[in-house]
Amino acid sequence: MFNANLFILGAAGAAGGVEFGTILFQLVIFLVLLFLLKKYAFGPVMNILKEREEHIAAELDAAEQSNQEARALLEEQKKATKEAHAQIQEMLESAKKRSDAQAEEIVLTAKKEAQALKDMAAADIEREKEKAVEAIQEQIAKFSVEIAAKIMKKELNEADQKALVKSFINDMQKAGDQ
Amino acid sequence: MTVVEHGAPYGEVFGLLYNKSSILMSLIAAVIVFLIAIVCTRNLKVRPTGGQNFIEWILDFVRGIIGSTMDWKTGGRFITLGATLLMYIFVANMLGLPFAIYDSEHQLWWKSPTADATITLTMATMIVVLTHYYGVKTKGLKEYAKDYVRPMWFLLPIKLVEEFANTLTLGLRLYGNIYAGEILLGLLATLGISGFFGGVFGALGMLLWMAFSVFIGAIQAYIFTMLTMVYMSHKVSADH
Repeated sequence: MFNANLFILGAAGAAGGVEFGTILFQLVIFLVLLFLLKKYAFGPVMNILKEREEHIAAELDAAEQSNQEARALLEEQKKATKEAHAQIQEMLESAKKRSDAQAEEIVLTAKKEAQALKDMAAADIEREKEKAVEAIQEQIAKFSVEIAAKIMKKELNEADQKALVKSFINDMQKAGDQ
Repeated sequence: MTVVEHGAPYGEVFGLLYNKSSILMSLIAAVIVFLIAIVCTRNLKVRPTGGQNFIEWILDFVRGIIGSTMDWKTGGRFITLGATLLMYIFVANMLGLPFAIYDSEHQLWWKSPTADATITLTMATMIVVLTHYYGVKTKGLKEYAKDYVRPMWFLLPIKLVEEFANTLTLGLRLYGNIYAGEILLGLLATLGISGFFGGVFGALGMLLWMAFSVFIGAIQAYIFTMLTMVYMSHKVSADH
C-alpha cells in the first residue's frame, strides 16, 4: 500500500541525494523573515514596550516623589498650625497681662486724681475760711472805728465810759479769740 | 488508496537539488507571518490596541519561555528569534491542514513546509549552529570548549553525541508530528470518497483530526521554540 521510499526522510531518497537547494532556500527564507520581522515588526514593538516600561517607571517615581512632597507639606502644615496655636496662646496671655496692668494703672491714676481733687478742695476751703476771717476782722475794725466815732460824738459820763471801754475790750478779745 | 503514493516536484539550480513545493510553501508561510506581523504593528502606541496586543502577547509569551530557561540579561537578545520561530512554525504547521493540492502527476504541491524533513532539519541545524555561535560569543572559546568536559572529562563522547542527537530530535520531532498528521488527513480524505459510510466516518474523523492537528501544530511550535531556548541556555549560561 505504501511505497517504502515514502518513509525515507523527506522523500529525498526518492530523488536521490540531499536537497541542498531546499536547505539553502529554507535558510535564506527564514533568515530574511527573521531580519524583516526584527526590523519592521518586533523591533518597533520592543521599542514601544521599552518606552512603556520607562514611562511606567517614571510615573511610579513621580508618584512616589509627589507622595513624599505631600507628606513633607503636611508635616510642615502641622508644624505651622502648632506654631500658630502657640503664638495665639502667647498673644492672649500677653494681652491679658497688658490689660491687667492697664486696669491697675487706670485705677491708680483715678485714685491719684481723686486725691488731687480732694487736696484742692481742702485748700479751697482753707482759703475761703481765711478770707472769711479776714473779712470779719475788717468788719470788726470798721465797727470799732464806727463805735469810736459814735463815742466821740456823744458826751459820756464816767460810768458809761467805763462800760463802753469794757465792752470794747471784750469785743476785741472775742475777735482775737476767733 | 493510491493518493498517498505521491512524489514531490523537484528542480535543480546550480546542480543543487531542491523541492519546489517545500520552498513554495515555506515562502508562503514566511509571507503570511510577515503580513500578520506588519498588519499588527502598524501605528504602534504606548497604549496598545488590537493587533499590537496580539504581537505583544506573543513577545510576552516568548519572554516567558526565555525567562524559564535562562536569565533575561543573556536571553533577552533571542526574543526576536523565538517569536519568529513560534509564528513561522505555527503558520507552517497550519498550512497543510485545510487541504492538499496535487498536480496531474500526483506530485504534492500544497502541504505544510514542516512536513518536509529537509526543512525541519535545516531549521534544527540552523538553531544548533546558532547555539554554538552564541556560546562562543558570550563565554569565549575557552569556556565554550571546557563545557564539553564538564563535569567529567569522560563525558566528552556523550556530549558530542548529544549535539547531533539534539539536532536530529529537534528537527525530526516537528517533521514527524506534522507529516504523520498530513498522512492521516490524506488517508481520511481517501476514506471519505470511498463510499457512504466511508464518507460519514471520513468526514467525522477528519473534523476531529483537524482540530487535534491544530492543537499539535501549536504545541509543536511551542516545543520547538522552547527547546531552542533550552539548547541556547545550555550554551550561553554560565551555571551549566
